[in-house]
Amino acid sequence: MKLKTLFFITGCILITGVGYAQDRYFTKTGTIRFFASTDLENVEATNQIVTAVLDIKSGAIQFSAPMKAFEFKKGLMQEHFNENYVESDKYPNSTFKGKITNNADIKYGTPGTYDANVEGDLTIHGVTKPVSAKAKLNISAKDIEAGTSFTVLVADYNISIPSLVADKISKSVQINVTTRLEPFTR
Amino acid sequence: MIVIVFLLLGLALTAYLMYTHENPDQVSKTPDHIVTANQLLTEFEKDVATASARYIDKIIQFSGSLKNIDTSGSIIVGAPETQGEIIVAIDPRYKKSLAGRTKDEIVIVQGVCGSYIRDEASPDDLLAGLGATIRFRSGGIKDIQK
Repeated sequence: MKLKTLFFITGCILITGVGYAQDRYFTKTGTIRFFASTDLENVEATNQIVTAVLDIKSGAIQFSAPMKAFEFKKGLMQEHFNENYVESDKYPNSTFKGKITNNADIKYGTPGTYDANVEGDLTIHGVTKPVSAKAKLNISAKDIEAGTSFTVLVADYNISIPSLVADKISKSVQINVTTRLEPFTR
Repeated sequence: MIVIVFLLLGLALTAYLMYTHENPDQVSKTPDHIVTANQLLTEFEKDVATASARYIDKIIQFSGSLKNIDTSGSIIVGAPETQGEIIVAIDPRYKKSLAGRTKDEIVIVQGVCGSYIRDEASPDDLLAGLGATIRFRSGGIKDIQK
């Protein structure tokens, strides 16, 4: 009897653990690109080591991007970005924490392309603001490709632009996110 | 007058060269430390403060086993002895070094050590339970160990 109880409890723990793991999809090599057009020249950078997790059961979604990993073509531009604009030593990561509001409409067990509405809090430069965006989920048998594109205002995140170039630099930045999320098994 | 013109031209040229200068190539520089992936992960696991002071924002060369290759510009390196992973953003100039690489190959990688994330279980933070991770930037595969 005692042995049966032990097997039952162990079974429950294992089932719960497996269920928890299979609900989560993740990547540590997601990509975020940002682009801002200016009168002087276009500013663009790419970050290839973005961590992201999606809990398909609840629709909860989280991202984290190390700021110093944004690669610019020009060294001086990257230096200014990290030191003067986003102060990467003080604020090393930008993060997003939110959820897919229409998660019930997405059939994770059925391969296909789905539209997702994402809402949550985006933190850049130590400032957190609510954002919402439309995302595309391409679900296959082995992984989920998730992508979105949205615009943020530089001023919203307390990023000050020197007055000398303020008129020539775009006040908004276009952000593109692409990830291939794999099942989290542990 | 001629001296002033030359001086101004010199200043303009310096400013132009500074502005258009590409990011420094961290892969070809002399590394601050040469270690193994296992050594790096173990040192961070044991004492984050000491390891951070020693490695963060430094150029590190390390050897480890290729766990994942994303030819768009990143690799994941690990060590059989530890659970943690090292994620490396590849400098676009070194993307071609990913061609032909296969999983489980022992590679020698160099880049700038950026941050360490501990593995912590937290119901509110989905990112916390993904395993210990060291993030590298401006990296490249220097060689493969035969």
